[in-house]
Amino acid sequence: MKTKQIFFNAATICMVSLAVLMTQAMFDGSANAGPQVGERQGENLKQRVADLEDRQDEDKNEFFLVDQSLDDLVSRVNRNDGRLVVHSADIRALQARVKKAEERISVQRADHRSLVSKVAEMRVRPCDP
Amino acid sequence: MSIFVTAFLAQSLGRRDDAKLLSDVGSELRLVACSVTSARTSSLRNVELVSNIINGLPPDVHVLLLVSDRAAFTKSAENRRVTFVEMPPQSDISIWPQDPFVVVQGDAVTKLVTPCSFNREDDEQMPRQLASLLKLEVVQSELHFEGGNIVCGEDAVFIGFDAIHRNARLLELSADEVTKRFTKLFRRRVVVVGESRQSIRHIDLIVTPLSHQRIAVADSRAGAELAAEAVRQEPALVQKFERQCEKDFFGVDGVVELLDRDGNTIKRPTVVGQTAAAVASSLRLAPDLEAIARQLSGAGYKVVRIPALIPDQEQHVDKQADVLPQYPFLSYGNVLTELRQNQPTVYLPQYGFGKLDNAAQSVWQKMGFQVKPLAGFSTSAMYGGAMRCCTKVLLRN
Repeated sequence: MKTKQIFFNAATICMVSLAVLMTQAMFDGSANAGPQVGERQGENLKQRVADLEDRQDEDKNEFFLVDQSLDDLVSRVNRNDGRLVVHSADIRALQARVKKAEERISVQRADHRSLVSKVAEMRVRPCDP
Repeated sequence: MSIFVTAFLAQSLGRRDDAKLLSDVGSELRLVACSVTSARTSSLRNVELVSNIINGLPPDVHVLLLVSDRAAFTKSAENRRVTFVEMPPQSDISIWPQDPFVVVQGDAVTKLVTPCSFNREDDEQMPRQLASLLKLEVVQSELHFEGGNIVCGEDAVFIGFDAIHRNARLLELSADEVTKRFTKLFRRRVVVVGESRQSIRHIDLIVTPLSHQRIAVADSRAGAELAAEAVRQEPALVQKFERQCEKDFFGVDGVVELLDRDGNTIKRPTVVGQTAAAVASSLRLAPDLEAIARQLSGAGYKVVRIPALIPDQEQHVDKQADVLPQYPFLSYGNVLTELRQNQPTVYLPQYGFGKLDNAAQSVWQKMGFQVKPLAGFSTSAMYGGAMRCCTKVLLRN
C-alpha cells in the first residue's frame, strides 16, 4: 500500500512538472514574438551555406560586379535635359506673348491719354452759340 | 516514463532558450548579407563598394547579395563566395541591411528578429528573403528598433537611448520595463548608451564593442584636430578629397541633379570647401561623445577613442525623417571585427581623406588588430553609413 502511495506521489510530481514545463513552453517568448517561417529541424546553417557554395561551379578570388544601368542614369539625365529644352522653349514663347501684350497695353494707354486730353480740350473750348 | 519525458522536454526547451543576439565580437565571419542597388532604381548606387567589400573579406566568407534589379548587373564569373538573393519584383531597397532585423543564435537555432515596424523603402522584406533562402525562422518583435542603434559585445548588448525612449513612449512603458523586454528578447544584459536624446542617430557609428571588456568610442575632437591640421598643411589634398566625394556621388561626372522614382529632386551635396564646417560640428559633438566614453568607463569598460569627423547632424534629416546626403560621416568604428586564426582583425572603411584614414589605421594597429582597409566608402558615408551599416553578419564560425 505504501509503495503504491509513493509511486502515485512520484507520478503526480512528474505530471505537475510536465504541466509546468509545457505551460512555460506555451508562453515563453510569446510576449515578444510570433514565428512566421518554420526552420527545418536538424539542418545546420553552416551546412546550408556549404550547400549554397556547392551549387556554384567556379571559384574566382576576385569578384567584379558591373552595373549596366549606369547608361540608364545618363539617359535619365538626358531626359531631364530634354525636358529642360522643352520647358525653355515654352518659357520663351510665353515671354514673347507677354511682350506683345505689353506693347498692346502701351498703345492702349497712349490712346487713352490722347482721348483724355481731347476731352479736356473740349471742356475748355467755349461752346458754339 | 514521465521522468524521461520531462527530462527530454527540459533539454529541448533549454536548447531553444539559448539563442542570444549574435555578438559583434567573436570568431571568424562565415556568412554576411549585403545589398546592391542599380543606377536606374536608386540615386545611391553601390556596385563598386560592394565589390570592394566582397574582395576585402576573406575568401571563406560567403556573401548573400540582396538585389532588387538583378537584370542590371553582370558579374565577372561564377563565384562560390556570392549568392544573389532576389527581392520581390518592383521592390525598392536601400544599401543598409544592418537595420531591418537582428540575428539571434544558439547552438541549434538561428532566428532573424524584426522590429514591430520598419518603414524604409522595402527593407522590411530583406529578412524574409534571407530566411526563405536559408530556411530560418523570422520572429517579429513587439519592440521598435533599428539594427544600427544596437551593438553587441561579449557580455552585453548596447542600445542607444533613443530606442529605449521611443519604445517607452509608443508602448506606454517605463524605460526600465523596455530595457527588461530587450534583455528578454536578446537574452543578454542591456547597457543603454547615453542619457538624453541621441545627437547621432545610430550608435554603431560611434560605439564599437571589443574583446576583454574594451570598447571603442568615436573621438570627434581628435578627428576635428586632424582634419584642421590637414586643411592647414595639405589643402590641395583635402580639396581633392572633397571634389572626389562630389564626383563619385552620382557616379557620372557632371551630373549634379536627378529625379527619384517619386519625382523628387535629389541634388548632389556640396562638399568642396565644407571640411571646415565638419570640423566645427565635430567639435560641437565632442562633449556628447566624451559623456558616452565616461558612462561606459564608469560601467567597467576600458574605453579606447578612435578619431572621427562628423558633419552637422541636424541638417542631416528632412521633415519626413529621411536621411539627406551631405558631407561624409567619417566613422572608423563602423567596422566588422573577427578573431581569425587567433589574430584580431578589423575590416576598416576608408574614405580617401588620407590624414584621418591613416590615423584610424594606426589606432586599430595599436590595439593589436590586423587592419584590412576597404576603400570607397565616401559615397555611403554621405548618407551616414559605413562598413557595419552595409554588411549584416549572419553567422560566425
